[in-house]
Amino acid sequence: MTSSKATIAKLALGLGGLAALAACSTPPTVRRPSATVYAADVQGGARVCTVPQDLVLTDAPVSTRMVLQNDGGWCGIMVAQPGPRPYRLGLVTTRAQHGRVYVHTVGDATRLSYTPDPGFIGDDAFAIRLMPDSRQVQVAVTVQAGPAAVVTPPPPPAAAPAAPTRPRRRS
Amino acid sequence: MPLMPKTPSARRFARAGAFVLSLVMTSTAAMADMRCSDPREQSHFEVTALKTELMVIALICEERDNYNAFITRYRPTLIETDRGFTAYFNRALGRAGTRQLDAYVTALANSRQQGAQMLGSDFCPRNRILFEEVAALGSTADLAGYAAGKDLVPAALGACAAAPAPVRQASRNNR
Repeated sequence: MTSSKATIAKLALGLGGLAALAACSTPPTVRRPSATVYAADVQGGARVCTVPQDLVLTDAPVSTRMVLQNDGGWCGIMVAQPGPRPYRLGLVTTRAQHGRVYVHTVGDATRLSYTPDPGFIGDDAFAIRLMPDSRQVQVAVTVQAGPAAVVTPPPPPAAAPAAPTRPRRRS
Repeated sequence: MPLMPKTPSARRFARAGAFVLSLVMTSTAAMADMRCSDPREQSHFEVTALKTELMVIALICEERDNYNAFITRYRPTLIETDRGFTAYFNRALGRAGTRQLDAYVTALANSRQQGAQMLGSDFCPRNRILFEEVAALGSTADLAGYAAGKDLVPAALGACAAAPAPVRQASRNNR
């Protein structure tokens, strides 16, 4: 390598370094790292689950709908504070009559999950109050028949073993 | 002809045995309706399950101080819950109620611990937040509503599985 080529190479490196430093001097975009989403929170969902995608909660109670097929899985509505940040906690103010409700943090949001009772088909409802700011959500649930609700015919009785007969004892 | 216990105590023991057997043998599907018709009794089961879950977190995740803080803050609510929980089992199962209550609580703790094992290394970082949440409740009266949204009563155990709801007196409705 000649001395002129070496000088050019050094100059290029120097300019690159200056460019890198210039990039550092600009304020970085403030972005909160996404919270962890655990494997347990993304498993077991219902195959068919229709819920609003961008539900905005206000001072007044918000009513919404959830439609799912009962295959044993949960269906969840995601809500979040601006940021997005999850709500701190949720209180059940109206219990579901035919299913289980689970309010918990999933990543940067709060999920309101509903799991219908096995075999249940029909309408249900529940309500949650989210803190802080007492945001209220009323959820009307429609549970449709899913694969788990399909009744399969019992096996033929000939397949069952015959019950042993026991001699009666006289008293 | 079915064999019937002759004395009342023997009948209660038989009912208790049937209850335990039902807990063991009944599948999740069949337990679909194992929910208390009385919301207060349902709350007793849910708050007891929450307390058990917090105890499991405290033991596994070294959160004993937070658990003690929870017990201290919610002591009156927890005492009321324990009374209602005990009263339910005694009413449903007579003299065997205390024994069955112990069996239920043990099964509950085992179930929560199994849940922790299934989550593995995710259990502590994921579930520790429960202590922050119970500490952030506005009042002790909120504990029941909070517990109702945690789905901690195992489906295999259910709530109020041993007996129908009590006949409620009018005075008990006013809280």
